[in-house]
This record gives sequence, C-alpha cells and structure tokens, in this order.
Amino acid sequence: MTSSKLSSFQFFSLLFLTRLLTIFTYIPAYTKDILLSDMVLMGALQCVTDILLLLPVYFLFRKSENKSVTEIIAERSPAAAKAAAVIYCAVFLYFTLTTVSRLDLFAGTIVFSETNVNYTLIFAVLSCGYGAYLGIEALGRGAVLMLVLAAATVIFVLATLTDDIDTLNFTPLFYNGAAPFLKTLVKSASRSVELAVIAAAAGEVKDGKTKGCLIWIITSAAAAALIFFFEAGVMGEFTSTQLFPFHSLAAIADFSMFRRLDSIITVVWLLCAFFKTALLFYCAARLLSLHFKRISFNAALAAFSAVSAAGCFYVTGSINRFVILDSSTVKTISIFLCALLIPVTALILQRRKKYA
Amino acid sequence: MPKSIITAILALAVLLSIGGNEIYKNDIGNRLIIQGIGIDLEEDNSYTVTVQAINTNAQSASTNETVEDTVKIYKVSGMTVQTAIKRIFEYEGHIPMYSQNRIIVIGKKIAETGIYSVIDFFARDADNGPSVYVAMAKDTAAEILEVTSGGEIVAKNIDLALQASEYEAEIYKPELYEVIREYYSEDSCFALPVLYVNEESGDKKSIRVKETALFCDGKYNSSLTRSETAALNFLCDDVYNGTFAFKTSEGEKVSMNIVESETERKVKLVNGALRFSIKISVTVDVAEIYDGKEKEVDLKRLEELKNGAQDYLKNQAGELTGKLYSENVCDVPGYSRLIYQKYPSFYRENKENLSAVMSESSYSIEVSVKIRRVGHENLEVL
Repeated sequence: MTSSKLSSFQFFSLLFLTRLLTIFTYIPAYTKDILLSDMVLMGALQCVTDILLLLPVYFLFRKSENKSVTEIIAERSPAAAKAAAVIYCAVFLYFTLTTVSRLDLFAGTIVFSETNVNYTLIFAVLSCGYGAYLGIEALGRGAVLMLVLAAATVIFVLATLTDDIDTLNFTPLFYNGAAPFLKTLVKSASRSVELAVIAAAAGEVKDGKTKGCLIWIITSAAAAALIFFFEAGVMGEFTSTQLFPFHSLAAIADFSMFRRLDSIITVVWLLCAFFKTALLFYCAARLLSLHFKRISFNAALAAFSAVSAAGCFYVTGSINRFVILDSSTVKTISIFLCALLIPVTALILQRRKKYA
Repeated sequence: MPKSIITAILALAVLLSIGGNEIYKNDIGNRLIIQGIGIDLEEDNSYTVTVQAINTNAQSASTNETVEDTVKIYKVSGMTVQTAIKRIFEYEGHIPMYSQNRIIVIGKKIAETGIYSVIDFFARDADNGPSVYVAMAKDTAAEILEVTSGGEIVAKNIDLALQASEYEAEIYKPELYEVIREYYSEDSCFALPVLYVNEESGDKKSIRVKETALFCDGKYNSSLTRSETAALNFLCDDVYNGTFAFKTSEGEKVSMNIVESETERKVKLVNGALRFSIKISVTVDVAEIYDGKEKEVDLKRLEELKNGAQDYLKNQAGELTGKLYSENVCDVPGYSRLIYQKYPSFYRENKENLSAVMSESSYSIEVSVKIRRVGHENLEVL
C-alpha cells in the first residue's frame, strides 16, 4: 500500500461512481409505496438528505481537516476510536456484500442469465481487493477517467431517448400522501454509503473538500433525478415491473443503426461496481490497520477480500438470503451510526478537548 | 510480481470464469438464434409456439443445406409458453436464444381470451429485449410464422417493415414494454398491428399489416382500418412522418407528406364535467394534386389546400374519438391519464366508474395544418 494524498476531484469522482452504481441498481420494488413522479423528486431531494447527514462531519472537519472521524476520536479515547473503526469496517463489509450481491443478481438475471456467475464474482472481488491494494490515489486517478466514460455513456443513452418521453407517463405528486414519500426518502438515503466513506476517508483529501463535496452532492442528485425522469417518462409503469429499470431503459434506447445500448451500460455498470467495492475495501482495511497496530493493511485487505468473496458465494445462492441481507432497516441503522451518531460523538469529544 | 502481470492474471481469471463450465450453452454454434415467436392457444388450453430461427448451418460449406434453409421453423406445444419453447432443444439439441428475437405474434384466440396469460414469460426473461415488437395474427400466429418467402426470414421482414413504419402514420407498432406498461394502467387498453398473409405471384407469400386491433382489459375488442389507425396515431401524438390523401371541397384529390406533427392534449373540469381539448399541429409538404395543371397554386389555393387538410384530419380524429369514447370506452390514447395527472382527487373518486365518466365527457378537436413546400412545380405566388 502506498499512502498518499489524493485531490478533491479524484476523491469525489470515486464517490460519484459509487453513487451512480446506487442509481443504476435502484430496485423499484423497494419503493413501491411511491409513484413515478415521486421517484424523480426523491432523486432530486437526495441532495437535501445528503447535506443534512453530512453536517456533523462538516463541523468536525472544520477543526481537524486532515483527519478521519476515528482519528479525531482517538485523540480523546483510543478505545472508543477502536470501537468506531470496527463499526465502520462492519458497515463497509456489509455494503460490499450488498453491492456484490446486487451485482450477482444483475449479472445472473440479465447479463448471463443461463450461466453460473459465482466464480466470476469471486475473481472480480479479488480484483477489487487488488485495486484497493494499489491505494486510494490509484483508484482516484482511474475514477477520473471512468467518470468521463460513465458520464458520456449515460448522457448518450439518455439523449437517444428524448423523443420517447411521453408526458402521460408521469403521475401526480404525492398521490399516496407525503408520509410514504418521506419514508422512501429515508430508505433511499440509507443506501448512501458514500457518507460513511467521507467520514472515514476524507482526511486523505488534499484540499477543497467542502467545495468538492457540494459539487458532488448537487451533481449526483441531478444525475439521479435525470435518470429517474427518463425512466418514468419513457417506460412509465413498465419501470415498476423491472428489476433494474435503468438497464431496461438502455435496452430500449437506439441510435441510428445501433440497437440495444444496454451492452455499453453493462460495461459502465461493472466498472462502477469495481471502483465502489475497491473503495470500500480500502476504507475498511485502512481503518483497521490505523487503529489496530498488529493488523497490517495488506492482511486486513486480504481478510476483507476473502470474507466478501465467501459471503457473496453464500448469499447469492438464494434470493431469500439476498432479500434478508439487502434489508433497508440494517442500512438505515448503518448510515445512522456512521454518518450521524459516531461523527456527533466525535464532535462532542472535539469540543470537550477544546474547552478542557 | 509486477503489477501488470497481476492485473493480467486477474483479468484473465474473470474473463475465463464467465459462464463457469457451461461452455455448451455459450457456444454460438449450439444456440438457436430466434427471430420470431408466434403463440396460439389450443382447445385443451395448451399453447403451440411457432418459432422462426436462423439456421446457423446454412452458410457452412460442410453441410448440404441450401439458401432456402437460411430460416428454420419449429412448432412445439406445452402447458406454458416457456415449457413449449424449451422443447425446441429436443429437435436438434440447440438451446433457444431470445435476445435476437424481432417479433412476438399473438394468435387471435389468445387475443380474445386475454394476452397476459402469455406475456409474462417475455416480461420476466431478461433475454427478451423490452423493445421487441408485438403484433396480433389475423387468425393464427403459426400461419404468419410458417411463411417462408424464397429463403427470406419473414420475422425479420416484419420487424423491418414495422421499424420503417415510423415513416407511415397508418401503422401502429407498440414494443413489448409499451404493451406491458399499458397492462399496468387501470383499464389495460392498448392496440396491436394485425398481420395478414398476403398471396403474391406464384407461390410467394408475404406478410402485411392491414388493420389495428384494439384491446380493453387486455382482451381483443375491435379493429381499426389503416386510415383510422393514422387518426389513432395523431390522438396518441405518435406521428413522426407519413402521408395522407383527401378530396378537397371541389372534389380534387390531394396527397400530402407529413413533415412534423405534435398533439397537445388537455383536460378541464368544469362544473363536475370533463372537457378534453386535443390540438393537432401538422406541418406538411404537398406531394400531389390531381388536376393541378388546371389551377395554379397561389395564396388562395394554398389556403384551400390547408383548409381541406385540416377538415380531413379533424373529421378522421373526431370520428375515431367518437368510436373510442362512446358507450364501450377503449382509452387507447390514454386520456384518462390526463385526469389522473391534473385532477387526482377526482380520479380517485371516479376510478371505478371512469368509463362512464369518459363517455359523458366532451371532446373538442382542433387541427392546424401548416404547408411548408408545394414541390418542384412552379408556384404562381412567386
């Protein structure tokens, strides 16, 4: 592992890719209480939930810019920092498993529906582990290139569908009331593992964190709203019947003699999954090696890769296991802990230190 | 070990592990590339599936198969569509591959009993693209897909004809995702093109779209002629290009090319009654005027042509609206969605009784035609 600082643009490019994957793998069945236009609004309002959830981290980093949340806690209580690091690691491992399981569901249902993709996924997980081993700066550099490719592909696919939008496909806002909408918005926010990544790894970013973060929040909410807008406008209620609506949208898209642009999207999808998993591995291994001196970064990384590969092998064998793993409640608790509870605790400890 | 070697090893491992040990399934030579699927309902409620597929051996020098064998036709039966299709494997050991399928043809009997008994397979299997066309056979789907026209793949021809119908307003051509989307609407109304077998010179046969079938509650309801289909496309705002011909008040025949069309659909709730307003704006080029030699095209004549086109389109759209929204409402243009969007509370209150509400509503249709060009012939106005 080579420890180095990465630029704000590289870091938030990585986070944009992980958010893009979250949008791609959005499963409408989880948000069946809301209608299509609410889904578009939910995408746009994601920026509000992101800002609210990042406030404690923002105040924390104002005083200790180049440290992670656990490092700030360690200044006051090393034991509490160790506990926080373990929680973060568990959350990163959990989100890695859900990411890889969703990828398996996608690959096994849509890309290679008639073949067994378990072995491919295991090698893919190991590749992600190797990506994390190369360090966050290497991932950041790759993410910038990938961001250009992903943005160009998504914009191209959406542009070809502009004529297919039918305004009759949109639904009235809040038809089922505001309560289901708010509940779904919270559910949607609970998928934002990026908030935990910011808390755990933003200390490695050179400068311009606040500006970069604001741009990331706005662009990722705009991307979500735009993609959901096209899904609702082009496919209408068909969106709700699909496991991965964005893939179906790309399958409908055509341009000149090219039909079924889903194959291009599939490539972007798989690469986004690589960056997300590698980033989560890196954050988990770094935290563990930082707070437990006996555990080296490489050993932690190897352990995470092995556990994730084994976990993925187990979970993907049954759709029941996937549904249990992908629980919104667990995700909500995870994000509540990593984005609110631990940073607020760190903030209190930081203030105490100041006035001590 | 150098990073590049590790990267290469991992990349190779990922690539080579795709598909695991199921090489047989992945070899294109062992796959049956399906081009068209036709489904018919039998007396005993089982399904007969007729499949038109590319013969991958046709180009092989090692076989004796001729050009006529480019397409292969299989007919299989089963309790469900999926069990029937899978039986194709028993013929030559080839595994069906649906991703290249171009059309799904539904037999009339299935259409009359409701097409959703068979559409679930296509919705659930991701290998079937959501943009595959769906059509209804005039009689049986087998009759359509058993046509072999001089070695041509008929399913491909139908697909290309439907694709090209973007330039023909008289053909309605929904894709699979649109049919499934309408199923999830409250009234499940949609339309499908109806395919006929056309006898041509000699033994040659071809497939033609001659009318459009209307479906309500997922079941076949009635049919529209081609000119009525053009009106339906105008009401649905689905006209991109095409032609239409009419007679002016003086009885001369005129044909026009549609360059651009847009339909604005609105609804207003006035004193508890709904008023739908449909504004069709069309830009056209004059393509042909019978007796054109007798009369020069001046400004007055341009006005007459414009008015003639407007009256024609308005009558067509008006007659179709009357047909769709009279006693047995068949809301293929989806105007109930306008109520849903603009007056959600009213929609909620009248959801169970929407057909009656829509049949009692008023529909005003305005058509505005703009003539862009009149062709190469000398224009008097200049």
